[in-house]
Amino acid sequence: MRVILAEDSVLLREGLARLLGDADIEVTHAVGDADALLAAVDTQPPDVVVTDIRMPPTFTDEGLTAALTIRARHPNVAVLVLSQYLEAAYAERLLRHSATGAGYLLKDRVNDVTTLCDAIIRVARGESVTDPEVIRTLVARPRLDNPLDRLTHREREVLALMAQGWSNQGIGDRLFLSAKTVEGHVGSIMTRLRIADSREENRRVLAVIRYLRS
Amino acid sequence: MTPASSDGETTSAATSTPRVIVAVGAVIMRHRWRRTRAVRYVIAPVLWAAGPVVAYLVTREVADDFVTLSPTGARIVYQFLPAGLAVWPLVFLVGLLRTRLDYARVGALLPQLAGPVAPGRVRDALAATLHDPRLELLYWSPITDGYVDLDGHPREPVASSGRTVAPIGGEGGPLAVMLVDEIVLQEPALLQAAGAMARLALENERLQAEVRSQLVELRSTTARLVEAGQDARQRIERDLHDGAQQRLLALSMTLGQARARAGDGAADPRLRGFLDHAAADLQQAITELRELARGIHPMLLTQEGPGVRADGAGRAGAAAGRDQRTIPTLPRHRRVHHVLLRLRGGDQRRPARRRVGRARPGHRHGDEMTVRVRDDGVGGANPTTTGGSGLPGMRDRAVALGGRMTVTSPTGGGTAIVARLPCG
Repeated sequence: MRVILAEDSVLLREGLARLLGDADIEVTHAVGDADALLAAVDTQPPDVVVTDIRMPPTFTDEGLTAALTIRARHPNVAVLVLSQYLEAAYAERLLRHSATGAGYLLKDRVNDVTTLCDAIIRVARGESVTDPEVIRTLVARPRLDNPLDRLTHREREVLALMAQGWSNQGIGDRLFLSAKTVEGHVGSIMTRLRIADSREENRRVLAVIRYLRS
Repeated sequence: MTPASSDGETTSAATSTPRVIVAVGAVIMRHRWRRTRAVRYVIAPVLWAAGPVVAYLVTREVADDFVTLSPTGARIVYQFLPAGLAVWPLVFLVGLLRTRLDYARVGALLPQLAGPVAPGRVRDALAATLHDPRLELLYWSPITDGYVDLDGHPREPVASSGRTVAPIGGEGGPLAVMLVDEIVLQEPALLQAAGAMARLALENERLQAEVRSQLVELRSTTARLVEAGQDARQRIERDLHDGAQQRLLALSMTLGQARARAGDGAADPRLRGFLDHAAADLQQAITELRELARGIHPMLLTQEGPGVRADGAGRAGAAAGRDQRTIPTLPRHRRVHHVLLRLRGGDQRRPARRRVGRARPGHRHGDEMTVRVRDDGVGGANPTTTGGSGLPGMRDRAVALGGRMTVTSPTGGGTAIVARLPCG
C-alpha cells in the first residue's frame, strides 16, 4: 500500500509518516502544500492520498480542492481528507460527485492508529468513509420538523452506521444483527425517509447526508 | 401786436415748452433708475400716470398753433386726458401697496424654506423676493475655507458695478453671501427680512448635512471597529490552528502509538490506565480548543459564503440546491457573511434553550437582503442586553454594515430575528 501524505505542519507530517510507516503503509511522498501534492501524484500515483484541508497559501480549503482535482485526474487514486473542524459541508463537497474511494475524517483520529489505518484501507478498497462524529451531529441536529422522528431507535442506529459507509454486513456485525435483519431496517428507513433505495453503499451515504442536510 | 411778432412769440413758446418737458422727463428717468426700489415703486406709477398729462400739455401747446384739431381729437385732448390726473393718487397708493406686498412675500417664504430645501431653491426664493433675477448666492464651505457657488466651484464674492455683497451670517460663522443689485441696500428692512429667511433655510440645511455626515462617520467607524475585531479573531484562530492545535494533535498521535505499544495492559495494567487517562484528557483538550477556535472565527465562513446554513449544534454546512439558487449574486463579502452565519447559526452555545428553526435562505430585493430566523424556544431574548445570547453583537454587526436587525421574542413564544442587510 503506497500513500502520499500532504500536511503543512511539519510536526504532524513527520508524526503521521512515522505512524503509517510503523503500520506497514509505505509513505512515498510527504509534502507541505497542495501544489507539491498534485505534482507528486502526477509523477507517481499512489494507492491513497491522505491530505489536510487547510494548507498554504491561503489556509482555507486547498487540500480539499486538490483532493477533488486528484479524483478527477486519477480515478484510481483514493483520497482521505483530514479536517481540523467538523464541517459536514466539506464531507459533502468531497463526496458529492462520487463517494467511491473517498473519505472524510476528523484530524483527531490520528490518535487512533487502528481507525486511521482502517480508513485508509477502506478507501483504497473503493469504499467511502465519513467520520462518525459528522454523522452524529447531523443526526442530533435539533429541527422543528425532524424527519428522523419518524424512525425507531434501532433504525436510527442503522442509519448512523449506514451513513458512515458501512455495508449491511458491517452494520450487522456492529449491532449484533443478521445482515438480513439489517436489510429489512434499511428498506424501512428508505421508505420512511422517502429515499429511493440503492444497492450501492456510497450512494446510500450520499443520500443520507443529503437528506439530513436538506 | 403784429401777426409776425405774435407768431414769433408763439413759436418761441411752442419750442421751449417741449424742451423743458423733455429735460424734466430725462431728469426723472435718471432719478428713476438711481432711486431706491421703494421710491421707484411709489414714484414709477405716478410717473406713468404723468405721461398722459405731459402728452396733453404738449398736444395742446403744439396743436393750438399748428394743427387744427378735429372735433373728436379736440374732445379727447380737452376732456379725457385731464381725467388722467384724477388717477394719479390712485396709482400712488398702488405703488405703496406693492412695497408692503414684498414684505408679505418674505413671510410666505418661511413655510417653503422650513423643510429640506433643494439646492438652488434658496437662491430662487431670494431672487424673487428681492426682484433681482441676477441674484447670486455663494455658500460658505468650511472645507475650502471660502465661498463656493451652487456647483461647488470656489468663488470670491466681489462687489462690481451696481452689484453689492450682502452676507448672510449664522450663529456658527458665515453661511453664505448674496451678490445682489445694490439697490436693495436702500431697503435694509427688506434685505434683512429676506436674509433672515435665507439664514433659517441655510442653517437648517447645514445642520442636516452635519447630522448626515456624522452618521456616515459613525457608521464607518463602527464598521472599522467590527472589521478590526473580525481580523483579530481570524488571526487568533489561525494562530491556534497553526500552533497549539497541531502540537496537541502530534502529542495525541504519539500517545496513541504509546498506547498501541502498551498493548491491552497485560504487562503493566497501571501504565495502561495512565495512558488511557492521558489520552482521554488530551482528547478533551483538543475538542475544547477546537470548539473555542471555531467560536472565534468559523473557518467555513471564509470559504463557503452566505450559502452556509446552520445544522447540528450550530454547525454550518454548505448550501445545497435552493440556497445557491436564491443567492447567486450576493457579493462574497465576509462581513455580511458573518452576520448571516451568526444569524443562521442562532445561539450555538445554548442549543437546549434555543432550537434553531427554519433559517430561511436570504431573499434579495434590489440592494437589500433579508434573512429570517425563527425558533420555537423559550423566547424572552433581549437584543439590547449582553447576556450570552450574542444578539447585541449580531445587531451591532448588522448596523455597522448599514443594515438593521429586529428581534421579536415574547416569553414562551419563541424567537424571530429579521435582518436586512445591504448587499449592492
